[in-house]
Amino acid sequence: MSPEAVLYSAGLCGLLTLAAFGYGAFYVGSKMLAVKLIYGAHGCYFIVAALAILIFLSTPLGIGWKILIVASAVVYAAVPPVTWRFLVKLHAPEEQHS
Amino acid sequence: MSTAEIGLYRSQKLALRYFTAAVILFGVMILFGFLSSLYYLHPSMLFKVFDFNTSKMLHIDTLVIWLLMALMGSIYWFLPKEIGGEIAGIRFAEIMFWAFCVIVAIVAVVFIFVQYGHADEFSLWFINQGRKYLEAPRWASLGIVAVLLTFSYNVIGSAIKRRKMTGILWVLCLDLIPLVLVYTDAFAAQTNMSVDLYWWWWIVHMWVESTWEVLIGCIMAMMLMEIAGTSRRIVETWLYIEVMLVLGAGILGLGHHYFWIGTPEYWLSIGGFFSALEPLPLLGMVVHAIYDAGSHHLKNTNTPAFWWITAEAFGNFIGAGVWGFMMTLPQINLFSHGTQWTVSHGHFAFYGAYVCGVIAVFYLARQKYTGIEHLHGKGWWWGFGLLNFGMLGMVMALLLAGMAQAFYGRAIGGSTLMAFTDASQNAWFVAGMWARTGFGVVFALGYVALVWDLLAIRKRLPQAAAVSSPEPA
Amino acid sequence: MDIQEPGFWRAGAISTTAVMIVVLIFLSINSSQAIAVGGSHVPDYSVINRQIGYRYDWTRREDVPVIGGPQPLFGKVYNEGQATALMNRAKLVIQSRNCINCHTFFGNGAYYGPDLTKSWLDPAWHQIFMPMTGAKTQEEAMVMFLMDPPKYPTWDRRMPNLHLSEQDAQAVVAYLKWMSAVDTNGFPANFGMQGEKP
Repeated sequence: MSPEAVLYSAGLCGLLTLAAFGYGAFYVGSKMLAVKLIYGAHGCYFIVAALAILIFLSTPLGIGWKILIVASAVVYAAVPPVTWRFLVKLHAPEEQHS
Repeated sequence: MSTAEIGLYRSQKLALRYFTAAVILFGVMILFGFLSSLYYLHPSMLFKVFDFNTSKMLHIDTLVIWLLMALMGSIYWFLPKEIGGEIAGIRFAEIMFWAFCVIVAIVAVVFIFVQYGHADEFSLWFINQGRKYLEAPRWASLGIVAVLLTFSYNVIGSAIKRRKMTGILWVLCLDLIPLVLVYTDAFAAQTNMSVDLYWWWWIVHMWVESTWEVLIGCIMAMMLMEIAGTSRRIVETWLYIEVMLVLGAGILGLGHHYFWIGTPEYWLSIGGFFSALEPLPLLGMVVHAIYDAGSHHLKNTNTPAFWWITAEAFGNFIGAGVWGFMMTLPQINLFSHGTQWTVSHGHFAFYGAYVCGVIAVFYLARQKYTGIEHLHGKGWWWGFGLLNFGMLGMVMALLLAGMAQAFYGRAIGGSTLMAFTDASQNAWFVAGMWARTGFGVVFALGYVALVWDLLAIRKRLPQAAAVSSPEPA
Repeated sequence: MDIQEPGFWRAGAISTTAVMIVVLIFLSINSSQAIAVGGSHVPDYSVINRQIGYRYDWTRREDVPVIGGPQPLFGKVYNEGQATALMNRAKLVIQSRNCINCHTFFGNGAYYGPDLTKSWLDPAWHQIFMPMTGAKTQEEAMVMFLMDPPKYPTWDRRMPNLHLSEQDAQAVVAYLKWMSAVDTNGFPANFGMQGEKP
């Protein structure tokens, strides 16, 4: 891997994960604070998807790692909504009591 | 005995002693961290008197010890509540606390004044074992085993004595087995460096990325029940999920340390795969943390603890998740491994995963100790702001320096002595090291503000005593 | 079973952990064979009597150590027993002098001094230290440097004198030579081969 490619690939991987963090935070924010924050979540996820495609097309990472990154970008889409639904369901009996 | 101490179990008073020792060692760690950073700027400093390796060793060893003390203290704090009474073998635990302190003090004195010995077994037994994180001489490691065994007896014996076995206690008891078992590698002196590092990573990784994670998961579960009134069913469900995810990814995540130590090539795939998966559950934990923050009333009873727990979820994701994923794929790690980039990740991950969490427990313990029903105020903000800002600045600076090293020293230069030298004199690297020291000062100021605020809570005691509960906290 | 019930996740936690531990044990048994002295990745200690190189392997797509013809160390050929004794001593020197808190071995340790994984192959011994010490061979230059590092500084970050005897220093040199023959899956990349390969 060329010196430039090392920093480029690492930077994209870091940004992808950071955008996923933004997606998760905005998603929960939209549920708890203001519905409008969902646009932020969509924006962040768009960045996640775009970076995954960029990593796939423009970095010298092995094909196995590229597939793993694209697959994890797809899974990221599901993590916040699934976790959220699970948490609501988990807390439901207590909420009814109080 | 102060009026505030009357309402506490002996185990909780012991916890307070552990917290005090931990906070003091936290300060010592910062002091030696700052000193270590100065060698990069002034290499001739204290040359032949107190060299970099001793300073750095004291920095990383105090890190391990203060966090271990804080984690043990947290268990001693919450355990009486969990089992519904005083813990078993409290007298042994009290004796072992002082033994632990004496061991740490003697080792520190030997490290500072003796530093190193001859190439013989005597050095390994009484001076320095020379293995990163496990430098403590063997006699001291034996002492730490005794401390850990006593701690295990306190937890397991309490559950048996009270005939009470909750889900949290099961997880805790089972977690103590690997916690003690992997530490037995602290005595090894393998000639073959590959074998040495293979098992060394079992203890370093299994403590930091597995057993400690489970330990702090148990602590957070007990904390949420106590202060937020979350039901046992919920916290235990979440604890099991956390154990499943942490150990599911973490046990074979060990593989990301086995890329380059002489191990077979399959570790590149296994280690890369499992550590690439790590951010996924961490994102779930961020969602959970924000959910908890919004739906519970922690914010209304202990504002600093609330913010430190929130900082932990965020810091854990960014430090372990973002910083980890950036450098974990083998093709990238080949160049980033063993540079200041690793240091950046290490600082951020330790801080996010543990430091923020145990500071939350410190605030909680101070609140209960002083009997204040609602802990708010503004003083805590200084510690919170400066520590977080200082850490963020340090890791950004180290990342800059590390990237310069990976780029110039590793990828271009080919890792030789001259490549290492050139990269270390590169303007980006030098700027990064200066910035790290500067933000280190900010972090140190944050520590002072934190200690100041924790102590200041006591000053509010006279007013608070009126509303404190006489029941054990 | 309901996913709201702790029992469901308890079963998940136990089974996941158990599976991972079993897999780790199997992998560790296999790895232990590979990393044992004389295993597929770690050479016998007597490799110190041979020439050692580091070349890019096109099939593995990484740098690999190349073991060449005879090249006695300190003008001597060590049998396996003598070589082992030398290595035992070297590792004690390395641990007792706390080398790992300035240097890295296989990239593990501290980052104040250079990585020592392939130090034996470093061109600096020939280009800088042999002229500086006046030694006739690389190993002699290494011993002279190790016995009094501040005497041969290359830049402002100097190594302190850790009071190694000549035997200690010779043992460490042998250890570094052996370590450079360990197959580290290509770490560090491009060592000493600036611009020579992809």
